[in-house]
Order: sequence, then C-alpha cells, then structure tokens
Amino acid sequence: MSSSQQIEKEVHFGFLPSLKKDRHFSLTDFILIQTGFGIAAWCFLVGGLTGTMLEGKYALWAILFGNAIPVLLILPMAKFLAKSGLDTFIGSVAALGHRGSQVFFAIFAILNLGWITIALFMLGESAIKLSDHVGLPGFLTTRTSGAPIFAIIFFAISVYIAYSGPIAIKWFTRIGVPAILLILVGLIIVVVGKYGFTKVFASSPVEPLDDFRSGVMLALELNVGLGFSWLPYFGQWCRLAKSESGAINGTFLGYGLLLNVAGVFGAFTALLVGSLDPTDWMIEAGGTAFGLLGLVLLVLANLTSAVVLMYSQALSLKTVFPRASWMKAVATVLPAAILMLSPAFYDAYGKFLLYVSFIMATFGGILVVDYLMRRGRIEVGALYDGGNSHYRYWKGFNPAAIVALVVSAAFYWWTYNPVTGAMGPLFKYLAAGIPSFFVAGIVYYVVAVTVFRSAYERDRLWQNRLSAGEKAPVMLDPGQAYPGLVAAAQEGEA
Amino acid sequence: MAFSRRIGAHTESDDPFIRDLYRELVSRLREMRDQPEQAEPSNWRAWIVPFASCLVIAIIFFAYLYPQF
Repeated sequence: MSSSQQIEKEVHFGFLPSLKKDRHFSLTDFILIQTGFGIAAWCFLVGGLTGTMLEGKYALWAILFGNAIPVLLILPMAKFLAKSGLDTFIGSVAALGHRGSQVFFAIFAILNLGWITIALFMLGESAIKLSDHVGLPGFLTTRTSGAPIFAIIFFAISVYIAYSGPIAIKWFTRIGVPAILLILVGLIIVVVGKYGFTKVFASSPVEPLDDFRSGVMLALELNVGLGFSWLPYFGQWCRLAKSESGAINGTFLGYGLLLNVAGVFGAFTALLVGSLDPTDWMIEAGGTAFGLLGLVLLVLANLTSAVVLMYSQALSLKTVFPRASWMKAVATVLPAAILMLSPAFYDAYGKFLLYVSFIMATFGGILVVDYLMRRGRIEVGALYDGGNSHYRYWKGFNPAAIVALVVSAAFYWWTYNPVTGAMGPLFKYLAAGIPSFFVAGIVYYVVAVTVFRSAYERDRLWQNRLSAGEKAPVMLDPGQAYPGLVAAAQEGEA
Repeated sequence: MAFSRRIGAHTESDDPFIRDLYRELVSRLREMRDQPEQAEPSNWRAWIVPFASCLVIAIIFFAYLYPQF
C-alpha cells in the first residue's frame, strides 16, 4: 500500500466512529502507549520548573496533585469517546456546535504549534551542546543563533517525515519512545544512585518566589496546565478501547499518574543541578560520556515528539476537513518555525502552560458538564451533520458554550493574569485552572437550562424518544432531512 | 467543509473519497443503532482507581502541605 493510500486509510479511520472490530486496546496497551507518547520534553520541563520554585517534598505533591486532579476532572470524556468511538473534535460537536468544534480544533492546532516549538527548540539546545563538544564553529554553539538553526533544520526534517506518512513515523517512534524512556531511567539512576533522596530533599530551589504560598500555587498551576492539556488527545486512543473501563483507567493511570514519574524526577534533577533545562542536566548530572549519550537521546526523542505532534495535527485536520489535501494539512504546522527563531518562546514555557491551563480547563468544564447533562446520550449521526441537526444551535455555535467560555475566561484572568503574572485574591488559595473548570461547567449548565433552553429542544425530543424505549434513532426526519442518507441506508440494508 | 453539508448529499458526491467515506459512515451508524455497545460498558467500579488515587493525593496535599502555607 502506498503512503497516500495509508494516509487516506487513516483519515477514513479517524473520521468514522470506531466499531467493536476496530478496537484493540486493553488497559495495558493504554498505559504503555500513553506513557510512551506522553513522557517527553514537556514533562521534564514542567518538572524542572517546579523544581526551581519548590523544595523536593513540596514539588512532589504539587506535581502529583496538579496532574492527577485535572485528568480526573476531564475523565468522563474518556468514557464518552470510548463509548461512541469518536475523535475528540467530532465528539465535542454536541457541546460546542459544528462550527464551535472547528474553533476548538483551530485553538488546539495553535497550541500544538507551541508544543512542537518546545520539543524542537530543546532539540536545538541539545545540538548546540553537542556542537560545542565536537568543536563546531562558534555561531553553532550559542542558543541565540545555533539553537534556532538546528531547531529549524530539524523542523524541516520533521515536516518531511510527517508528510511521508505513517510508515516513516512508525519507524521513528520505535527509536524515539525507547530514547525518552532511557533518559528517564538514566535520571532515576543518577538521582537515586549518585545523589540519594536525602540530598534531593535537602536541596533548595534556585528561583523560589518570595511568598511561599504563591510559589506552591504557581507551581501547581503549571502542572494543572499539563494535566488539562491532554483533553484534545483523549479521543485518538479512547476510541480504540475494547472497554470503557480500560479507557477510563488507562487514561488516568497513563496521563494522570505514571507520567508524573518524569515530572518528579525532572524536579529532583533541577533541584540537584540548579537548572530547569534538561539539556543542562545531562553532562552536569551524568558526566561527559553519559551526558553526551543523554543529549543524543534527547535529540532523537524530541525529533520523534515533533513528528508525532505534526502528524497528529495534520490527521486531525483531515478528520475535521476531509477534503483538505495532505500537503495543506501538513503545512498547517509551518508557523511553528517563526516561534523557533529565538529562544523567547522556549523560555516562556511556563507562561505557555498557563495559557493551556486557562483554555483547556474552560473547554474541559463545558464538554464534561454537557456530557453529564445529557446523561451520556449523544446522537452520533447528528454530530456529522451540520446542515440540519440538533447540534447546529445558532449558525453552528452553541450560545451556552460561548457564554460559559467568556465567563470562565474572565474568571481565570481575574484570578491569574498570564500576561503580567498578577495574582488575584483567590489564586493563593485555589490557583486558577481547576476553579475555572468548575466555573465553566456551572455557567454552562445554568445558561443551558435557563436562557438558552430552546436551543436544546430537538435534543430533548430525541432524549424523550430514547427514554420511551425507542431504539436509538440515527436519523431525524429522514424523509426531509437526509434523502441521500436514507437511500444509502436502504441500499445497505438491501 | 466536513460539517457544513448534509450527510445525504455526501453519500452521492462525485468525489469517490467523500462518497465512500460517507457511505461507510452511514453503514457504521446503522450498525451502532442496531448494536449500541461497541465498547464493553462500564459501571461505578471503573472509577474506583481514579477516585481513590486522587482522594489519597488530595488528602495528603491538603492535610500535609496546606497547613504549612
């Protein structure tokens, strides 16, 4: 099968709801895949950031709490996507409307550019340290010129691999996933064997905030950002689960708990070495030989992360817009190159995480409450039909979701302003991301059952038909709304 | 645009990719209607591990860390 046929097959597969015959993932598969793909640059960086702000004993609990609780809060989406067999963006149509889910996809794609930049700039940082060691010219060893040059060269290579399709990616993940796991094992050996936990817990952070409480809450908020960030990625794995229980527990154990091993050891290494950047840890903690090996592994791991992120973004775009060409779909990642021109974006990783926290907590609150409000009953056929369905709402946007989004955004920015870093009165007690999740959910529920009650009328009728014991109808007003659908259905039945 | 036209129109599209895609969709929707449980359903027991883990983490966080603020 050619590469384009493989891509076409994957688009088919990503677009369509998966059936029993397509589902191969058990609980163990979930844990392995989510840990393998989830543990990457961002885990070490968020751990490193936490370790530069807090002592070891506080960093440990800030990381565990900050990642596990957000994943638990958005976990009902894992059950829904496993049950329906849908990708996240198709599944989100019920809550956001057809056009609203496209906006959600666009926001995801923009944030994805940030994740790609972080992975590739860290690769650039690793490459300049290797260049320095092998004696390459000076401009290739500095983070202002060398790191962007390497990041952009490897960006071009990543785009080419992502464009080449799933076969090339399969080979890369076979190298990249073991590479990142080897780095993690190396860090654990160094922390436990060379230094010991006593030294870790006795070490002081290099950049603590003046106010201890604010420091804990800020570190917590950064981890909350990573925890909520998995929301758009739930669908691609959960829809392949053999059981809902496997999806629920696998998602939680993978993203909510096991991923924290990388964050926690990242924090411990940052405490020992005094830097949040994993590229600084390698030679400092492991010595020259192991350090250089670590840097090479970091290059491979980040290259793989970038390729997987690019491929996922392109494939998701094809799922939402099946008519888009593969080249155009891959080209949507190109703006990331602009972010790699200087270290500014990479250095603002903490700020980026706060934006992710604000956006994904808000969307998470809306999606989860919508799912619970409908008691888990969503008309899958209507999710695919923007022309005439009960999820069309107002020109494809759900007004209740828009109101919830605006109120929750205002609440987040009042609690914590990610631009200026100004903390509101609640931040020291509650942080911002988790309460914003609840604000979004509560506001969505209240306006959906009061002000915008009429927007849900068709769904209520459908729900009533289900409650009356009718077999789940996949077509509404079939004679009028979907003549082609009826014809195709009859053809299939015949 | 994927969601801006009716499914029925897509099943009669001139583009073989779109036509096949939506015909397959219709076939799958029918199968889901006839057999709604495509994944083994879960009950409250599926939530024990996530809730218990978070409860332990939250208790330690609030009981051990919060008083030190």
